Amino acid sequence: MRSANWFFSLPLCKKQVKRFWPLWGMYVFVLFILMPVYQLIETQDRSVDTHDLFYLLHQHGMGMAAQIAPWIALVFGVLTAMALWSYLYNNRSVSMMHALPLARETMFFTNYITGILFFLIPNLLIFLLTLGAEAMIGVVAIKSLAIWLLCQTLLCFFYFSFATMFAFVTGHILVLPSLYAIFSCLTLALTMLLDFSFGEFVYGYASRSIPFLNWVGEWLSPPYAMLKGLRLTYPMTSVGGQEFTAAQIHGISVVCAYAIAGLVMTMIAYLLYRYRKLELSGEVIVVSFLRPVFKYGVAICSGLVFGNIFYQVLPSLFSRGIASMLFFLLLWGVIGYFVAEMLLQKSFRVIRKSYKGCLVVMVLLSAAMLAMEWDLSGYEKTVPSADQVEKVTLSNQHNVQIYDPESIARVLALQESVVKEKDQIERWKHGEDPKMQDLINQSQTKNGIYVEECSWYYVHLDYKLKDGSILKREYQFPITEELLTQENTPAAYYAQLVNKPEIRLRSLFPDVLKAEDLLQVEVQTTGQIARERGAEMPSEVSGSNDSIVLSGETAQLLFDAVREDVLAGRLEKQWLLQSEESLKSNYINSIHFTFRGDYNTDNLSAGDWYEKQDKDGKNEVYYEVPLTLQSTASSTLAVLEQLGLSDRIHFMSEYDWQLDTDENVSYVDNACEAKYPVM
Amino acid sequence: MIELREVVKTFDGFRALDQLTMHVPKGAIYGLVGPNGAGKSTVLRHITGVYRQDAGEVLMEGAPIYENPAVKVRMADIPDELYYFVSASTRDMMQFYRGFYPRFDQKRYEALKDIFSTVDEKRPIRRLSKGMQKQSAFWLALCCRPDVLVLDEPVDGLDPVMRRQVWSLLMEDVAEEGTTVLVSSHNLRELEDVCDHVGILSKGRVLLERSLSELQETVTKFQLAFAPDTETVLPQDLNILYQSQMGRVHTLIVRGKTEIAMERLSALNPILLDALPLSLEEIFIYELGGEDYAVRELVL
Repeated sequence: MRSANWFFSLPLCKKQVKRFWPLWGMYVFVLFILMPVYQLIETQDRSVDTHDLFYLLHQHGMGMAAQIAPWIALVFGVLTAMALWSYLYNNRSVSMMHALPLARETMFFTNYITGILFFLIPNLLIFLLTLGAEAMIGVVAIKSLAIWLLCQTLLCFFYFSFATMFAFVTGHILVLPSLYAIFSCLTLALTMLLDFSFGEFVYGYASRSIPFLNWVGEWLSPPYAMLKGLRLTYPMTSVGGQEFTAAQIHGISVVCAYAIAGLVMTMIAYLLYRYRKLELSGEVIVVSFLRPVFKYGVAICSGLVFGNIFYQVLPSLFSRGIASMLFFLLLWGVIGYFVAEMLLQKSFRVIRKSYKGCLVVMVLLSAAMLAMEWDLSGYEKTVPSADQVEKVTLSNQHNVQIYDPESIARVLALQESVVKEKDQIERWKHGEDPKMQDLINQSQTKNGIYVEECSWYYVHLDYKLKDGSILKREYQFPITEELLTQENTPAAYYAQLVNKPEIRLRSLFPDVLKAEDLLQVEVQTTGQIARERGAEMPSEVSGSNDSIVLSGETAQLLFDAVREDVLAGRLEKQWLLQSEESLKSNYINSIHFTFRGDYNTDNLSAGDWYEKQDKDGKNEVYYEVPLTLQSTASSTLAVLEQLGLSDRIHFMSEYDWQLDTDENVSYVDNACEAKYPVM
Repeated sequence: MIELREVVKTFDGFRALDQLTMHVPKGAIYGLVGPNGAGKSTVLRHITGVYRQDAGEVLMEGAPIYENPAVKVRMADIPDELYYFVSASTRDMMQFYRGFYPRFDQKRYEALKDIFSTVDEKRPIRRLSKGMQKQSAFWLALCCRPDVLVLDEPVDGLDPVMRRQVWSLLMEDVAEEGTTVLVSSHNLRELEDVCDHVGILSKGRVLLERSLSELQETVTKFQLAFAPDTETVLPQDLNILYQSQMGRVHTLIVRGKTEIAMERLSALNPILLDALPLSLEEIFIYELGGEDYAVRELVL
């Protein structure tokens, strides 16, 4: 029968605590400075207003929990693991420790619990010290302190368990932090590289359009997951007539999920220890079935990482394309394979013995590249049929959701034409068509005005199909005057779509916005723009120096006029190429609409949004939509005239602005000097 | 006391222990000898429970040693390469071991200070000389009051006086406490003085395993000389491990009962016939000569 303390040895624990006191001592010191000392210093010269102090301490605690704790835990977790498991990496220490009358499970759990104590006790100590410091300050932000304690402890637990798992995969002390660092970001890096490779070699591949890949990249890279998942928002709150920033933390569930994953990793580590062959101390990988995984993994990762880096970095020496990419992929795959084999065998003489595995790597990498290039999956040619599509979101500058069948048909026609013209577009992209190159080169400054002959556009298509699935594609195609006038070109289809009035209106004002949500309208005056951009202009040219803010009925009047102009096609016309005509039509003056409501921010993309708490503590979303005025917006201009604001605004076209100022210095023709210098 | 039954251990395809069978009697001082690479240290690591065998059993009084703290608590070892925590002194390690060995004898620790007087118990062991580190190791191991003491090259680095002192302490424990000592060493002359059992290892197997007295009885050196012009034909049925001739004097190393060999050789009517006991070193050399591991003459 086992005794109650079969899993824990107090003498061993005490010894480890005593041996590694500099480690936990440093941890205590760092937290001591960052928590109670920092709070005491920061509140020293502040006002005695308790609310002010409370929110300051609250924000500090939340900030420590969300922004600092993950990094402290990341570093401390691996250092603790390296210290406590260091006896496994040296034949002499292995023999000494395992000759002791202790079972492996006792050694494992004793060292593991000791590692937890290394951060748990300091965390509790710092919690109490900070509580004491806050009591001295006169205000206690217990909630943020408790949240900090929870986050710091769970994060340390996770990272220590994460590092412990690697401690039992390797037999070399330096490989432990290397594996830890690599696996902290490997999946993210690999998914990004895969994403890049697909984007480069799979026509129409939409970046981050494979949910599984995104999930793997995010969730299997703990630091990134914490950065993204554990975050603060800063809604404003009113207390006693004053506004304060009441920081809120989001993502504690992410931390809890990782802590549970930490438990699983601990179990894996324990099993690895139970079956560990101690004679393999000093080896890079001690788990036999992981050795080929390591070898082939290093080869493939090396090929992907360094192959991509060299493919990107050396474009001038090698032309871009499948041949160059394959060359670098194979070169670095082979190098990675043999380096891994050398590490495993601890010898430089590995080529003869293991060249067959290298051939396997080369075949695998080549097959993957060629499968992409030849589109064996049919990805490039896939265009859904109209009856499959429920809605499509078209994204360029703005996101616009398209539901009506006619517009959906146009989107599908756009996609089909882009797919059909793949070879031509690729030739244009790689500069293989002299005529297109000439057009690009002809884009130039004329009399101080930059005129485009050719412009490249990205368009992202996000289909929601009727069976619930999502299909995403991303394309790039050129726009020239000639292509715009030709039928059935991507440029022509795109121009028709983005200038469709209903689509323009929905793009600006998503369906969730209601007229009664309109809070205010701000109109930029030329004088304000000149002031902000540092151009010195007389007031008779620039008008008022301050923007004009409208609310209530006048705001609604302007909003209705804008909607009317957009639906009539007189406003928000998309000039796909910059020309004199487009510059003369667009004003530098813009209108900013601010809406307030309880919105799902995923549906808002055209403008900026921020959250604020109302007096009842409820979160409200403020959404701002900017809109460029155009000379053809007759209804809008008429309303502004009617309100007597035209003189204050002093409309100026982009054309006149560029002629009259030297803001874009590189575009000013030598023969043309600006009237109004920009500082 | 300690038994290894058909133990197999392979390292990366190399069979270090090849169905090794060995038995260390209780209360014995067992000398484990063998050429370099025979597997001695590997055997000791199995006995101390560090390595797990691929096949076979490693037992102490019938109980498996591996992952058995109840058995390991009765065992102490001094490996050939010592390890101590950085900056740990003898005193620190005493406090460490005291936590694991319930029979750790604090009084003995204090008493042995006089014996190991050159070792500063408060100085980090890593800063001591090699010999002092060994002394520290003995000091600590003896205080654990083990039933089994496993020693790998134990006196390597000790001065002659300390060697004698250490062996004396060990033999005292064997006599008074019934401690079993398993020693691996290349210093066969020294082992001969202390061991009562010997096991010779070669290529992962026990070549022979006997009490020292039995070993010395079964291998004998004979020197014999014949009259001039006498044709000598040695008996074919004698198990001759080694044979050489210098002038008229023949030297034979014969395995088998001394009396029988003497009788057979007498029948050849030599003018001189002498039976001489062999040292352990000589037994080692001649037994391994049969394993194709002998001193070779090199012609450059």
